[in-house]
Amino acid sequence: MLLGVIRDMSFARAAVITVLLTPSLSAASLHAVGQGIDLRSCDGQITARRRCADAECETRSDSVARLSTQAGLTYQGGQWEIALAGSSRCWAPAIAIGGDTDGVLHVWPAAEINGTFGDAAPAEPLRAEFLLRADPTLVSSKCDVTGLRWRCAAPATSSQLRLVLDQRTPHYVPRLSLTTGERKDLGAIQFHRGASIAGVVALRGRHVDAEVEMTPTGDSAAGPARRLVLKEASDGLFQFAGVPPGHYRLAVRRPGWQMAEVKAFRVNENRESFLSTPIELKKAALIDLLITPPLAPGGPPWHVKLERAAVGGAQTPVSETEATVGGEWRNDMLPAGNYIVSVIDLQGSVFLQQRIDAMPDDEPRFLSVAKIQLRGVVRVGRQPFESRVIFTDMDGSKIAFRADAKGHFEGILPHEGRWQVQVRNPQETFYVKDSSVDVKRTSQEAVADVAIALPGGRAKGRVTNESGDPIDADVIVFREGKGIADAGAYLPHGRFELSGLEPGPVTLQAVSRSGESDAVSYLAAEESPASAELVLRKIVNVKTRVISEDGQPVAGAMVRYTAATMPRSRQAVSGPLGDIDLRLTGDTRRVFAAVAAVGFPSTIAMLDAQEPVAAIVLKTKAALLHVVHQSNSRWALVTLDKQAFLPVTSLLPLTPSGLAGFVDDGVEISVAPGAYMFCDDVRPDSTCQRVMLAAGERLTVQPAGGAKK
Amino acid sequence: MKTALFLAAMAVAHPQSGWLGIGFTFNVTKAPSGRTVWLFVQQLAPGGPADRAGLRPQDVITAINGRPLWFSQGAEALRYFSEVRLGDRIALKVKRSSSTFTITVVAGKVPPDIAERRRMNEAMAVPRRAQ
Repeated sequence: MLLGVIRDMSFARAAVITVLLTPSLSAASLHAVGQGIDLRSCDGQITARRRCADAECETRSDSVARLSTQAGLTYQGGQWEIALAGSSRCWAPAIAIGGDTDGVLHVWPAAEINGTFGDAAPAEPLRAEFLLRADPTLVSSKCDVTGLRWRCAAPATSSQLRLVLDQRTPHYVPRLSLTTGERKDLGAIQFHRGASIAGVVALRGRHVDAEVEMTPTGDSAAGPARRLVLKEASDGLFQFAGVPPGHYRLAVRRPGWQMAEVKAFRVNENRESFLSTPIELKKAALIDLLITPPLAPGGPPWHVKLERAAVGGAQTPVSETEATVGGEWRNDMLPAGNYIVSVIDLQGSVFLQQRIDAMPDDEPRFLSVAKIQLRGVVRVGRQPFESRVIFTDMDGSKIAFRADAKGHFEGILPHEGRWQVQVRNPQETFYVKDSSVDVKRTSQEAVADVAIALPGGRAKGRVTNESGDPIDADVIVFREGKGIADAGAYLPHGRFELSGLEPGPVTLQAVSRSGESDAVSYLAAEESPASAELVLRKIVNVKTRVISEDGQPVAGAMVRYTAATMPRSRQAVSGPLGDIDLRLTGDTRRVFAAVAAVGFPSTIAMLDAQEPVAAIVLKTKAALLHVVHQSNSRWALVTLDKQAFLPVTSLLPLTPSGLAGFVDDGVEISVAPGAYMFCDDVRPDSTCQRVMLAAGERLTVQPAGGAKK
Repeated sequence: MKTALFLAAMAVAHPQSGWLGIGFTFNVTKAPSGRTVWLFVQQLAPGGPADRAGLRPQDVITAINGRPLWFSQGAEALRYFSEVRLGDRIALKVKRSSSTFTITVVAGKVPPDIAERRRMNEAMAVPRRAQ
């Protein structure tokens, strides 16, 4: 192994340079170049040692003066290690030549560095590596050690020095300047065992001051982050010593420049991880804001929230910091790009939101937050409502007010116009309702008045399991079969209170992940609503499959299903293998299902709910079913047993424009041949018609009038 | 297991944002053999990129660009679709009833109303339950 001249910008590749020694009979030439020195003034000898296999087999010495001739020196018969020995005036690094590789020996005026080991002299050899300033070339030199003292021959020039001892933390001298014949004492140097991290921070190739932060990542149990502040004299060179082995991340910061990161690298025991590429800093983008008025409502400074707007709409928080009392705010360490700036007050209300393309050296931006006085009242039914009222607009503004016990609130909005308003209870445990209001003043100086009126109907009650124990569950309110609210105050012991309902009859149902209650008829009232008792029954998942007649799984089939014990129908979709989960209460014995799948006529089926449930088989033969529908009436119900019913629209498949099959007077559906029963209501005394459809047949069903083919 | 309906169309109208125009539900099938994630196409924006490419409601999406769906939750799937760039080609492996095939959708420009809806939804996020 030989160490030689390496043209490189850093120490990174200096640690081990291996020259492959291969026997050869060819000749190689050696020339020399004086680096600020006349070669004829050099004393000493050029020594050459030829290696054969693992042994030295030939040595040769020549005067340096012979190298200064144009012909140079010629070496034959394989690989040679070349060194300048015994010279007091000149210094050159050892190099290897031979085979097809000619060599050039760079010769500098000689100098010396020396010092002492801080503790006991090490057994390992000491090596000095010089990264030359004039021409970024790395040269190295073996050092002599006598007791605690060490000395290394050195080139008389300006360089960065690294002193290297195996398994010890290297020692750096960022700026070493030696004159011809100088002997520089570097004093006592401790070479500690252990791992280290080193590298260079550069700015357009120039070394600069910066702050470097090292943070353990992943499986490192290496303690907290460590920081180094680099001075300009450090030439951008940094080193963290005594680093436990593990994975690390480096971040480099410098005012006015983007943060640079080395995201993940490994540090091994008793080794230095020298970052092979200098960490280049790039000029940062600047966001410089001047906000008028300079202070938020009530007098405190504005806060500015900064988010990075990623492609596709995702936003990443960057910072939230206070502007000055003069309304000034700036961040000059940003990567160039698209940002969202929000001007907010201490309560978190967003008065202004703006998208900004940040570039280096951007001019200051003037953000003007207009203010209009707002006064309002919130009522739920006839009662004032103590609440938190949140105004939002389409530009991202979001202003919150507190309405007092009389429902009154006042404050500042950034502009007139249409606002979406959300009313929440003071503890923000639920919201009552969204509505929108127009905010308008009668004159520029006037206060804008708004009145927010919400329906005053309430519902309350308790949810228990079948043993009577209170249970947490969501309560859904249905009116005419449609869910109208599923939010409210959920109190301890299974109690619930729902507000903001239109007074009148509704249906309540409690649902949770594991159960659901019967649907209970209820009267939502402003004054003293009755307490509903909702008993949650356990839900079980019953698995089945949807397959074709030849046994192939059918994916994407929509299965609407119900049972005599279920208060409402549910929908499930078959997965890639035709698999489907039906959610049923534990006491369900039979399930009635309507299935709509692409490429198959719709069908109905009665399933035995006790597992294993037979697969739903879709047939390919079809008939055409026409069900007449009269406006202002319910859709006809389809059933097989007059116990479980589904609306006939459950047989409709989906198309890009919605459910498919609607015609002027009802629906026309491709269905599997077989028996169907249609009823106009779920009541036992309702009118029902049983029909039998054959393949290829078309049948029209009138809700209360019979069928005709 | 169906968890929610997501409109993948939702994305802030950044100039490079892409849009497929698919409304889907996120589903996970758990079986002894493993966990399968799939999307059920519930809606398509009429004339939108996915509609033009031939995707249809009731299609089941099982892979994207050759990779079986990896999302751990619906929000992750929504995020993936909302971060699509204009002009991206997204190959969807589709099961339609008993057939399996691939449909390539080229992301189009996000319509302004979709972007506004997204912003409004974010602004109006509300707490659902007391602790």
